[in-house]
Amino acid sequence: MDLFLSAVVAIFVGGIIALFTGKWRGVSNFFGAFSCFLGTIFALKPIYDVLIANKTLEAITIALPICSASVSLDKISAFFALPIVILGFISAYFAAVTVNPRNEQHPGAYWFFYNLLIAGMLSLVASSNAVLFIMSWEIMSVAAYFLIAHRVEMNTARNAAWQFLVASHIGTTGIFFLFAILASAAGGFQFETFHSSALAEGSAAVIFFLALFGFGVKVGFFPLHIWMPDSYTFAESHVSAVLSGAMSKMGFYGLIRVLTFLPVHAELWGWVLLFGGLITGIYALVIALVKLDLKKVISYSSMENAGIILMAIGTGILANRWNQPLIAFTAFSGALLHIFNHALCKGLLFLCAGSVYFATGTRRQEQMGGIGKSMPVTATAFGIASIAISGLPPFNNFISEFLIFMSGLKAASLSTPKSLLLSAAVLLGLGLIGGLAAALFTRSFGLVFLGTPRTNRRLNTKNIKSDVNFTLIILSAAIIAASIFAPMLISPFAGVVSEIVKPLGITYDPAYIATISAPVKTISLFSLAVILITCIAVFIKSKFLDKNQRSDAPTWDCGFLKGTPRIQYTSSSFSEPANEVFVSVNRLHIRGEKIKELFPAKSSFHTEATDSAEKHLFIPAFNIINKFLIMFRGFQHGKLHLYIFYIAVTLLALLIWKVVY
Amino acid sequence: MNITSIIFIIVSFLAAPILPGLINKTKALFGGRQGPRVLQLYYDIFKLARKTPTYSKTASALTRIAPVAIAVSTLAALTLVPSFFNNSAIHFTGDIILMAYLLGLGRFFMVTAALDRGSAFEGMGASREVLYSALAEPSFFAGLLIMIHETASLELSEIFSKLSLNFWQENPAILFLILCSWFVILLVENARIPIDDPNTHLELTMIHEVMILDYGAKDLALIEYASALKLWIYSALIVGMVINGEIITSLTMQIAIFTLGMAIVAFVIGTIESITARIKLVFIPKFIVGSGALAIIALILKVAGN
Repeated sequence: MDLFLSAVVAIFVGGIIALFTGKWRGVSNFFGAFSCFLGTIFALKPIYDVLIANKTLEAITIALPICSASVSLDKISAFFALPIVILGFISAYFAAVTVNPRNEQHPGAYWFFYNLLIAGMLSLVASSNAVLFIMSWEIMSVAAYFLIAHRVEMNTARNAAWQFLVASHIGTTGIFFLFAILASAAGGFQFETFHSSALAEGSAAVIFFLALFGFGVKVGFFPLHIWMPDSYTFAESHVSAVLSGAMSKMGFYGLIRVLTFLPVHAELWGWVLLFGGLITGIYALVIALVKLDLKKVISYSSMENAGIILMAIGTGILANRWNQPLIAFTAFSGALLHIFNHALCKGLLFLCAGSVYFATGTRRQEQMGGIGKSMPVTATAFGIASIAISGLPPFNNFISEFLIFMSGLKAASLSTPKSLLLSAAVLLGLGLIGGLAAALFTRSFGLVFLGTPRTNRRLNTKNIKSDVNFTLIILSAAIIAASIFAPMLISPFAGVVSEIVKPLGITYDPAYIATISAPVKTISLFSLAVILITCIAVFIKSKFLDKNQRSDAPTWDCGFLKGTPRIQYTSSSFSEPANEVFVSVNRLHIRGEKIKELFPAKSSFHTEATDSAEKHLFIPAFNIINKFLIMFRGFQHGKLHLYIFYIAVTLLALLIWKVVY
Repeated sequence: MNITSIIFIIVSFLAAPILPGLINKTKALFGGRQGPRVLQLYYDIFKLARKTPTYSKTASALTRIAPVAIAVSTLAALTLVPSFFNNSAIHFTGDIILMAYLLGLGRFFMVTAALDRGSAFEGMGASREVLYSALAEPSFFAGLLIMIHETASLELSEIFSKLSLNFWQENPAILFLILCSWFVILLVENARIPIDDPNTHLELTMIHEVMILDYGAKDLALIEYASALKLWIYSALIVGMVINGEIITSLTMQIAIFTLGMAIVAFVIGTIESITARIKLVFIPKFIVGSGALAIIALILKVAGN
């Protein structure tokens, strides 16, 4: 535990040194990045001890002004610290080699908030006390706000950061309330006292829904996701990688942590999570298909994966209710494995998007194309990540989705209609989500990296040093390793699962680990075989069979010899059939006139894709709130004598109150 | 892995290109023509395999890798298909998910390779393919769900062997509905009429064919072969679902009945192709979702019957 705390402190102190040495870019860069490396490597050891070596670390209590704050690292905390450590390290490296040398402004402030974010998240997972938890949560959110707002000269970044701040604080209100209820029932802020407290049935439900609201904002639960795409898009790419790969996982951490405080999980919660997750996943993909900004697409895919994870948690809760421990165990293991796998994939995708942005200076897919030829490493990494994120074998996301699928299949063999409904939601839902995700990522991969460039924009690959490629290679290798060695992950993650359900009085049979490892082992072997055979076959084909190949022919153009890059299929045309099907959800707004006359005049065509939840739910809602609050504007004149008058009136009122009562 | 499954893989490997030949023969029969030979696809594949490929200037390494990846993933999926009503070569809990997604991997390569040449047409096919297959996925799993519910087993071979004749006799409506919805999936995934026409000559209306416009020689041979194999896999699934292999004990009988079943599937596909026209592109999503609705009706019938 000492080591973990010193890691947090090291990262934090490194950030402060970087802040004060901001004038000397190199020094600031060194301290910021180096403290991150050091801290994350320090933190690995306690995580390993808890997760794999099954050691219990002694809790440490720190005296705080209001109460004492204690930190400890149980299996759940250690599991959620894993993505923070991995992405914190890789993104710090990415930042050190790309952003700051280029960035003329405030490298010190940048590193300060980056390190604060990582340190905040690490202390969040380690805190076993509500006060420290909320403090760390706020530190994390505020640091993230400053990181998103870093490109302050951009109007969009400012707006995104503002949206993030509002959304995140609306969510925090829920968290405040839920801890208030828990603390008043338990008579203390320590997490252990929460376990033993006797909660009324009703207040448990209130706590759950507050948690779903408060933490749902962070994970992007529909419709609380609207801050998410913009924030991830306008932050620097390595920050987006941390936000999406690690910070949004903190929402799951909070939700799971709160679930462990509650003695009974109601069936309704399971259904809400299952169908809420399903709607989140499908909605995210449908909206992502109308978006043309590369990073927005990746952001919405974060939301989609959050949906999948929520579905799995819901399945677990339902199966526990129905006394189906194997199904619950499979679903929870799938959820945890998916959290881990998604962190790797999303980190890689955002870093790839970042290096594409450095080279092209744009995020619009419509203006890219053919980048793969000049950036082969980025293209390969993005290709691997696309296959993985679409949930296709041979990569790791397939394995975690497979476990979730398996819990659905197992539910199908039960005989109650309810279990069939669960199974139908999981199987049909995941099937559709998988298919649409493949559509989304074939589009991004194909239109950004393949084909020919759509504009004359000159690629600036000078910025893409081999250091950048190094981060991409590391994460790609991690994805491949997580696919091939997936069976080894099952048993440490199973320990986390049993910790989650321990407060419910449920213990899972240790034999379950072997039950679900068996198919996973076969799949991993399959993955290895598919990868190896494909590589060997490609090698043989290119070495021996394609010897006399010619590669000077034009692409088939149907006899139209003057083809330009503009005749290529574009991002919006690729998703047009899908958008037509889902038009009632995505509400794609099309402006422009159809050509009618034989000799048409100049005409224009414009499509506009907004998030329906934002347009039809939040903007009207905030308008109503605004109308209500505007009534109070009359009190705020900015005139000093009026304010003095208010004070006088207040004092008078208080005096009367004191006298009367 | 037993001897039967090895025989099955070898037979599938060798015999898959016969299916398109049978379909074409059926179509010729309806059209009153002689038609191409049943073994025509073999001739085509061998002819193509001897040629040297020519690539577009725009094509990157992906164009060269994709045919191999498509073939490998389809072959990998084949190892999970029940062999003549017996256990598949590799079988484990939830193997059908891996099978469906391995075919999905093949599709991923097909689609991205289509976008690799920067063509005006190939993206068209790609964009349709990804949508239609995404919509077909839920109806595939809906049919599967009913069978798992009935047999309470999660291995593909076991599901098929436990689906007793009795069950189908008692629930002909369910059988019919699942059969219809899975047959539509077969037509969608294998680019057959009424979804797609493998013989069409207009790029704008193609789906599968347009994605491979720029392929030739060995690559095209691999892709054609993988497509035939995919058709074989889907047909084998339908045959396995309908015919209960447990009651046929001798292997020779199983092989004979399986062969007959595959021939019937090919004949039905050929008949559908002869007597129906292609549906309009804008109606295809409705058609696919409609077929999924059939499977969901079957599911409701099953629940109501419990």
